[in-house]
This record gives sequence, C-alpha cells and structure tokens, in this order.
Amino acid sequence: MLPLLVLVSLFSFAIIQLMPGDYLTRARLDPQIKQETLNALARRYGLDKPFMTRYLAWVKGILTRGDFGTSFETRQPVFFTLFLGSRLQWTLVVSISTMIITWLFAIPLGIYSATHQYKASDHGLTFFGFLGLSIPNFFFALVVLWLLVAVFKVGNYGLGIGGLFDNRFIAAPWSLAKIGNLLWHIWPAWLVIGTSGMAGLLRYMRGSLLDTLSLQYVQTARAKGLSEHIVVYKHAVRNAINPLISMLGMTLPNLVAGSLVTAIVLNLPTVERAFWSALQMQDEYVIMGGLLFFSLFLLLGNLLADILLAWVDPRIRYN
Amino acid sequence: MIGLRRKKGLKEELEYREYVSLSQGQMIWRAFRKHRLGNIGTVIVLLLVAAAFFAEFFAPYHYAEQFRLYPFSPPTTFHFRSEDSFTLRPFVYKTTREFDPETYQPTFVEDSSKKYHIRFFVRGYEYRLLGLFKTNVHLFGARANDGSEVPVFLLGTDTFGRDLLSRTMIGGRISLAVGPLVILFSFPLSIVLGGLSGYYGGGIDMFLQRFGEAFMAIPALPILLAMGAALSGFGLSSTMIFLGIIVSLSLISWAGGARVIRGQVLAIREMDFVTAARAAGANDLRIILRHITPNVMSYLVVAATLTIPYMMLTEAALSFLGYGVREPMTSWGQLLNAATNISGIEEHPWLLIPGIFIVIAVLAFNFMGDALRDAVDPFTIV
Amino acid sequence: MKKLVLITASLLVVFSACAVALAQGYETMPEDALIIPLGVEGTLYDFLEPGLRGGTMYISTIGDPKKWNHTTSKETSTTLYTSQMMAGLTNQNPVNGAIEPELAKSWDISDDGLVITFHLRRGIMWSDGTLFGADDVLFTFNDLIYNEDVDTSSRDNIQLPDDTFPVVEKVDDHTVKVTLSMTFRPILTQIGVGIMPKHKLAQYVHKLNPDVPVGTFNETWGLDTDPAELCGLGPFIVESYEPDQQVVMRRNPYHYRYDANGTQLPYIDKYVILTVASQDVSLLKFRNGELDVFGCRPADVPILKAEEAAKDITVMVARDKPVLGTTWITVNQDVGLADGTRENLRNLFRNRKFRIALCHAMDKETMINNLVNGLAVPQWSPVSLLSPFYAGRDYYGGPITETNAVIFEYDLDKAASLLDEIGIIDRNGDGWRDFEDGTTVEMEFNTNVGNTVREGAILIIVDDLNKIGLKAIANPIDFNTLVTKLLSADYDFVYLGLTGGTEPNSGGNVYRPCGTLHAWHYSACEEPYEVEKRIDELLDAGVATLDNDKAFEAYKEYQITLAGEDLGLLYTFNNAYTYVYYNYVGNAQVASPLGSPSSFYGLTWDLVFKKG
Repeated sequence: MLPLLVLVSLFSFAIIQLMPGDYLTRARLDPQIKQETLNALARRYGLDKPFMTRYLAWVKGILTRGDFGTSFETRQPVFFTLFLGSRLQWTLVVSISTMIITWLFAIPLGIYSATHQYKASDHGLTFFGFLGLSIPNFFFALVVLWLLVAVFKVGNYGLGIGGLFDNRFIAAPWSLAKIGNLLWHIWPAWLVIGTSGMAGLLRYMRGSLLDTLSLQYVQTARAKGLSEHIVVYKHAVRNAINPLISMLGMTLPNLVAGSLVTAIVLNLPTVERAFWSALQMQDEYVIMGGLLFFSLFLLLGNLLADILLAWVDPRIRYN
Repeated sequence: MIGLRRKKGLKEELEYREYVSLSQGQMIWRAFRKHRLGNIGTVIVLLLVAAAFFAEFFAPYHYAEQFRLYPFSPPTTFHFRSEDSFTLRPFVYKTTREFDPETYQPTFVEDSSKKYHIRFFVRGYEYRLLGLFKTNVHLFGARANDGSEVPVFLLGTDTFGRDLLSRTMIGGRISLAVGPLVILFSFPLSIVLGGLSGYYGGGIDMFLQRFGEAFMAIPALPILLAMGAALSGFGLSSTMIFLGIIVSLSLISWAGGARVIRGQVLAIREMDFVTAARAAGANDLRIILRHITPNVMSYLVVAATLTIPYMMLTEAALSFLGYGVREPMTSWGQLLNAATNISGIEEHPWLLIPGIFIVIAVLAFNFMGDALRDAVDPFTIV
Repeated sequence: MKKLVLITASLLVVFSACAVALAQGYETMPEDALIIPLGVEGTLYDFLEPGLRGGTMYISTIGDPKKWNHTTSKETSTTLYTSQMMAGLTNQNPVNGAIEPELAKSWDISDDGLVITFHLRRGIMWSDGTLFGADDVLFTFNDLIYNEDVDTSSRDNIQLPDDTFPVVEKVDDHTVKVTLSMTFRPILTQIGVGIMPKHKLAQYVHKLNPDVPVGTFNETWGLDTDPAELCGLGPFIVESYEPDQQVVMRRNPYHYRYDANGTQLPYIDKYVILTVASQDVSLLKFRNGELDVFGCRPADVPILKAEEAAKDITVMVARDKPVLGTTWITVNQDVGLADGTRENLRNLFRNRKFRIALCHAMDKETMINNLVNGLAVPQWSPVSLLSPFYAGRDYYGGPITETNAVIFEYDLDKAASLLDEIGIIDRNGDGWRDFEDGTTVEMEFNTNVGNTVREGAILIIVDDLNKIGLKAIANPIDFNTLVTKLLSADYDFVYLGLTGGTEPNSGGNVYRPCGTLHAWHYSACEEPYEVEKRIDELLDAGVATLDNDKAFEAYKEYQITLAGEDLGLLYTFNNAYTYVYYNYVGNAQVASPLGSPSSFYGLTWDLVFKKG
C-alpha cells in the first residue's frame, strides 16, 4: 500500500505542476501589488524552486515531521484546512447514509425484480433504476432545489433548502428538532447521489439471485417441498448477496470522491468542497492532501471489502 | 462480473439444441431479441447515431451562427390556421424581440402580416455530407412566397441567438464520440496488459497488477479535474482539448478493464479446450487468437456499450465543473450545463432540451448494454 | 408643579433608557463619537431614516474565509469579514465617494502638503473594552505594514511614487503626524487601512517580541483562533464560524458610530453570512426567505422583478451606478516581439487606425442586451463613471454629461473602410483580408473559460470581425493560462477585467509605460510613444496637487488621451449595480458600489435595521 501511495503522490504532484500558473497568478493581476512583493511571496511559498526539489522536500516533511505541508491560503496545516470544522464527519455521514439508503432500496427491489423476471414490474424497476443513473447529477440536484422553492414553496412552511440545516439550526445544540431538520436537508442528497448508484446495484442483485436460483442446491430445496418464500429468502438470497459485498468496499470511496458535483449544487459542507476550492485557488499542498485522502480511502475500501468477503463467505481464504 | 440471464434460459437453450443447430451469433441474437427494453434502446441508439452522421443535414443553420436579433428566442410557433383558412402546410411568422424596461423581461412579438411556409430540402450553408459530398441542402427552412426567409428555431435559441436544434445535432456528434474514442484508446491497453498478465502469470503478472493498482488507486474525478486544468495550460485549440480529455479519461479507465480481462484469461487458460489445443501443439499466439480472444470478446462488447453512457455522463460533469468541451465547440453536456441555472429552468426552459437528449441516450445505451450482457453471457459468472 | 412632574418624568425616561441600554450591553456615547445624521435634512443621509435596534440579518457569499487577520489577507472572500471588524483613519463616503474622517476626528495639512496631522477620536474603545490610541496607529504602520516579515498588500498601496513610505510618528496619545517626501493627493485615501489592536497582537510580531519566530504574525488570527480572541474597532466582530455553512458576526458593543438620536450603531445585533457554493443556491435561498438581501446577477433580475409584489421585495437596478473596475480588450502591440516573428501583425496592431476600426466593430449594445439583460452601461474610460474624476463630468464631482467622453459608435462600414485605408484588403478573393504580402490576417481572441459573459462578448466581436473579412477566432482558455499569456505578452487579444477604485492613480500599474500590467505594450518601458510619455506626466500631475479641480483637469486629459489617442485598452461595458432585498430591511437603499470598506454588497451594514 505504501509504494502505491508514493506512486500516486508523485503522479499527482506532477499533474499539479503541469497546471498553468500557480497560487500567485491571481495576485499578479492585481494592479495594487508590486512585482517585488510577488517575488518575495514566491520565495516564501517555495514556488521559485524546481519541481523535484519541492516534491522531495514535501516527502521529507512527511517522513521526518509528519508534516503534509501548509496551505498557502489559510497558512494552516493541510489537513486542518481540509477537515476544518466538521467536514470529515459530514462527508462520512452523507456518504455512509446514502450508501445505506441505496442498499436498503436496491436489494429488496433487486429480489423483487428477479422473482418477477420479465414482468411489467421488472421492466418498470429497470427503467426507473436506469433513469436515475441517466440524469446528470448537477442537473438533477438543481431541479430538486428549484422544485422545492418555486413549485412547493417550502419557505412558506419555514423550511430551508441546500446545506445540512436551516439557518437557525446551524449553530444550535443537538436536539430532536435539529435531527429532524438534518433529515429534511439530507434527503435530496440521498435522492441525487443514491439514484445514480441504485441501477447498478439493483441489476447486480437481480442477476446474482437469478444465477443462484438456478443452482442445484436451490433446486434441491424446492424439491424438498419448501415454500418458494423460504427457498428464495432463506437459501438463495443469502448466497446471492455475497458477490455484492465486494462492491460495498468500492462504492463508499467512489461516493466520497464522486459526489463533488452534488456537494457543490446542494451546498453540502464536505471535504470535496474544500478540495474543489483548493483546486481553483491552486493551493498545491491542499490539493495533494485531498488526493492522498481520496486514494487512501479507496485503498482502505478495497481492503475492507476483501475482509468482509472472507468473513461472510468462509470458502474464501487469504494467505 | 455476474452474468444475467432469464429464469427459463437453461431449459430453452436445451430445447433449441435438440431441434436446430444455431451458431453462437444466432443464439446471441435470439436472446437479445427477448429483452424488450434493450430492443427499444438499440433502436434509439441507432437513430441517434444516424442523426449524428447526418447532423448538418438536419441542422438548419451552422451551429455557431449567431442570430443577434433573436437571443433566447423560444421555439418558433408553427401555425396551421390563418385568419381565413386552415392549411395542412405549416407556416411561421417573423418575430421581433421587445424589451420591457420595467420588468426587464424580453418578449418576442409575431408579425402576422406575412406568412413564411415551412419548406423541405432547402438550400442553406454549405457543408460536406458524411465529410465527403459537398452540398448545401438542409432538411427544412421557412420562406415566404416572395422569396424572403426568416429563421426557424425548432428548439429555440441560446443567449447568442444560436439555433439550439443545430447545436443539439452537432453536439450529439461530440457526445456520442467521447465513449468510442475512449474505448479506442483504453481497450488496447486493457487487452494487451490484462491479457499478458493473465496468460503468462508469474513475475509479469505481479508487476502489471501492481502497476494497474496504482492507476486504480487514483480517485477518478479529482484527478480528472487536475488533468483538465493542466491540459488547458498548453493553450490548445478546443479540438485538442477535447482529445486531451479523451486521453485522460482513457488513462484512468484502462486499469479496471485490464483486471477483468486478466481474470477471464486466467479462467479460460485452464479450460479443457485450451489444454487440448496446447496438447495438439498450438503455439501461444494461435491459442490467444483462436481460443481466448473470442471468449473475451463478449465481455469487451458489453463493456464497450456500458462505457459509452458512462463517459457521456463524465463529460457532462466535467463540463459542469468547467473542464469539458469548450466554446464554440459544443456537446450535450456543455449545452445542458449552459442551461443549468435557475433562470435557465424558469425563463428559458427550452434550453433544457439538449439535457433530455443526454438522458435518453444514456438510458438507451444502458438498456442496450444490459440486453447484450444477457445475450452474450448466459452462463458465465466471473 | 406641572413642570416639575414633567421634568421628573422625562428624567425617569432618560434614566430607564440608560438602564436598558446598559443592560443590553450598549455603551454610553464616547466624547468623540462619529454621528451619522440619518434622515437629517440637508445632509448626505437625508434619504435614510433612523432605525430600530435588534434583530439578525442573513446574507450569503461564495467561498469561505481563509483567516481572520485583516492585515495579511488580500482576497475579498476574507476581507468581507475582516474589514467589518476593523476601521481606518479615513473612509470613503458610500453616498458620494468623498474621503471623510473615521477614526481620525480631523486633520491638518501643512502648506507644502508634506505633513498631515491626524487628531484621533477620544474615548473610543476596542471591542474588548481597551482604549484606542495613537500607539495602535503606530503599531499598524511601523510594526506591521512597514515590516518586511509581514505579508501584506497594504505596503504596496501606501508606497509613494518615489518609493518611500510616509513616516508615521506619535505626537501625543491622540495625535499622529504623517510626513511625506512629496506631495501625494491620494494619501488620504490610502492611509485609511484597518488599524490593528496592539494590545492583542504585539506579542506575535518578532520585531517586538523576539521570543516568537520571524513570520509568526502571518499565521496569527488564523481560522484556528478562538473567535473570542478577536477584537476590532469596526461595527461587527466574528462570533462563530462553521466551514461551508456560516459566519456569524455580532455587533461591536463599543462601536463609535451613533445616529443623530444618539442611538449606537450598528442597529442589528447579529448578521450571518451563509457561505454557499453557487449563486444559484443563493438565489433560491433568497426566494425561499432564508436571506434578507441578495446581490443578484443581471440574469436573475427578470425572475425577481416578477415576484416583487407577491414577495414584498425590492429589486434595485442602478443603471447610473455601474460597478467599479474596467473590462476591456487589449491589443498586443508587442506580439511576436520576443522571438522576432509576426512582424506584419505587430505593425498592424501598432497602427492606431486599426485599433479605431476595432472600436467601431464592437457592438456594445448587443453585448449588453443579449449577455446581461440590458443591465450594463458602455464604458469609454479607464476611470469609473462613479469617480468624481470621470472625464464625462463637467468638473470635479460634477454632473455627468458625457461631453468629454471619447465615444466610438458601432459602425461596421466605418471599420471596414478604415481597414481598406491602411491597406488591409482581400487580395486573393478568399473572403479574408490579407497583408500586403498576400498572407491572410489571422488573430485569436482569448478570455477566461467559464465566464459566460466574457465568452459571449468575444464571440460577438469575432463574429463581427468575420463579417468585415478579418479572420478572427474566439478561444476561451483557463484563467491562469490567460494571465500568464497576458503578462508575458504572448497573445493577440485578451478580454479581461480589472478591479479599480475611484482614484485614477490606482490604475498607475496598468497605464504607466513601465507598469507591470502595461500588458499591451511592455516595450514602452524602454521606448515609450510620445502619447505614453504624456500619460505618465498626466498621472504624475494628478497626484502632485492637493487641489481636486487641478487634479480633475489633469485626469480629464489623461482619460481623453488614453481612450482616444493611445487606445491601449479598448473598453467594453460595466455591469449596472443590482441587488434585491425584502422590504422589511430598513436603509437598504444606501447600497452603492462605492460602499465603505465595512460594506457587503455595497450595503453599509451598520446603518441597516429591521423594520417593526
């Protein structure tokens, strides 16, 4: 895993160097700032040194001091800037809850679809599953917000849109009302992010269950005279879910890295947004920190999936 | 990858085998025909592809032509009834933009003094049909009896008065091209590296696996953004930027494919017919070409069909974040992005029509892919 | 007897009012409080009204703050907050743009204009209750702004043309003497930087406290600082911050501004800035009733106008108040100079007639109507329409009549004939104009990708140039690439904008031949044209006098020369100032692009109140 991260970091660092201009480019267009000041700033931020020197200095900082660099903008450590406030927590809350909701819907619907193969309801589920996947997230999210404001006029009922809370709850201590408000604000995220992952999961579940249902042990169970209900739910589903477990580890990190667009439109306070603003400002070390964070998450997700799989399926053994 | 199949599949296949002998292609075709949504999807895909090939013919105007007097013109109204009579031949009126200084609301007022009839196969700007034949015939246009013309905007116009129908047609060509181009770049990599890794195993496998994993550990969207920003640094033309996007998309998508192919090759390599071929003295190249490639092919076809819609959506997301296709070039994603703001939804809803094309195209490709997967892969669980 | 009762009663009222005021944390008026005569006839503020105390206001902005340190912050996403916390010696009046006393009660200028003595207000306190005095002013200038270890853009701002700095000295606790090496009229504007609290910050400056490492101050008052630590003289102090959600600012209980009734400002207790990711979210939040004021875009105006009556809101569209700053196209007169190529194009670009032809080919009306809903005004001068020095005015601060503005009407025929005149004609019948040697004139327009208005503007210009046979293409590119190209003179045409103020001299870095942003003709520094030498002289003349009328004359000639003779930048248009508010927001009409530093959306927030 470590060599992988080194490779990823070198690759990312190279790409950031290829990006046009640097953190100071914007300041260069300010008529009030003099050239000498800009040069002094470039020296202070180390932007005048060659690529490899800076990369090695950065790596050395990590190895010797655990220092991932300082944000040019906030003048604070990288991960402080990225995770400021509750960004990390909210990222996890949004991603994990979306994942749970997706699974809660996709698995039963997949089972239903498989047991009603080629019926109108199966086609209907397939259609709506893929429809959610087909609508670009940025558009879907904006339409949802617009519907709430312009059509349903939720403001008249004292409800806010976007973000995670109404204005009055943001700084308020936790209470039942605040949790309720959170639920009100988080469902558009579930809807927008969830629908794009739902179709795949639903189809996998459907396919996997269909395969399992034609296996011999299921036939045996049927032959024994067990009710179809028990055959499907007790025997087939439990085995049909196993291959999906390996997807679990992949979906979470993809959700974290991929919900950037939704986080921008729905105004969610997540790490993605901090990463996005760093990218726009070319706050190099914060971009690096963000990329490392997403990679690490991806690797951990894969590891977790392997462990889970071994745990639910005793046939699989890793050395 | 899990094969999807019908409940009755096994029984049916056995029945077929009893009475007629079917080639693999025929079997796939029969299975494919059973997937109704897949069939509808395929027809739509074919229509869209045809429209993309003949885009200039369907587009009444050049996609970049600005009708300055018609910014944000709503779709032109077709009339069938004039003050005296009803006619089956539709006509349109010339419209003039008026601006209300109180509400800042522009309106288009029709001038009903002169009728402009819709005519087919009219002459317009010159182009090369299919890139080959020079012509200036377009599907339709509007002309009055005295020969004067007015622009017809079937889908309305954008902020510069550019015809959205024409832009949607040309944009579709770009959107539909993204997927196939990415496949063109990434599949050879996946096939060669995955194949080598799976067939030879050992040290090569170890090395290629780790190499692929490094690419898979890179989070796709964030790195695409960084690459998009880096790309724009070379001052390239919009066509080159587009190609750059394609290459970046390919770079991050080959590793996943290579992994699956490695798995498939690994499995097939151990199968009896390959062992038999080897025993019969076939060399590596022959085994790869004759025995392994056809079996991997089915995976590739399905993967290709599913890559296309995915890339379409990725391109749209990149457009939203400002790293997609650039003006004056256009794509469905870019057209939808231009409409994605509140005033777009409320004031100029016709701008959203290209977005509907994205949804339809992605849906159609997915259904087609789903049906193909059912058809070519009836037994395998990978 | 009756009288006595009356007096007693009124005394009681006064006392109870004081008691209430104290209980609510309001301070008694300091002896030198700054009185804002809201609603008083014959003053600048007669169109406003005295307000009511209390309440919370909600607004939104894009992007989060980066720190709380006013001196070291430069981007507006941060200064929006920090400038609310701080105040300067002088300030620009939001109504007429004049420079007024702020922390300084008054000032005297010596006859030669080289010594300015500021008399500070007495009895003013920082938001933590510490007394403000001359030491704070000295600390801000001598230990922070003039300190090379501190990253601050204020240092460049205050530097005089001869590269010296004004010397700031203490006379007594309430008097500060500023000595200049030369007469410099804009000094009164530029001395108005935010004064920082010495009692809080001196410990973080290496120069004053050698125990801390060099540069510590740059990290001081970062986002990791407990907001309770922050203090300032401005109307509001940051109370709490939730990243990507909101910044809450509370009123400064010791603020020194009062209205004519003796009520302490600001009126509102708190104001909350929601940090959002896009303007669309802001628009929806405003319409949903979650924001009280919203700085809308031109595209939002029709939607909001339609809801004006139903929602009881007011959409302000101030066509007579275009935003500050300039938008322009620059023609690279040094194109290909670095590598000795493209001499044809360079000579063409250096031809004044060619640039006039370009001016005639700019359809500003279409740009304004199609791109910004008609909510903009054409721009003809480097100086903002709102500046008292704008050449279209009759005299300093006078009415705008545009008699002296240099205006090129949109006329493609005229542009075409000008091109014919200079020998740029189609020589091979392919429809494109050629140079004398027969090669086609080809050029590229760049602007930053993602800015739809700018992309639209260059598409319109390119389309028009194509109509008169000039082969031009539009190529929007990444912002940073664009800036790099601009600053290295590696481009044909760039469409961009610059921020600006009301003082013409602030554009010196752009318009002087040796300015670092003189991007259309960098070689001017070695061999300036006559007209560029003249511009340099006129800019010098504008600052070297303390007489505004004399400065106006110099600046008028400067603007006419620049727009009519030099034609380095071809100006396009400036957006009108637009914003919208719910009608329960009192004094919202004071908003203006001129807004004082403590403004947001140009609204002076300490004057705003919530109507009953």
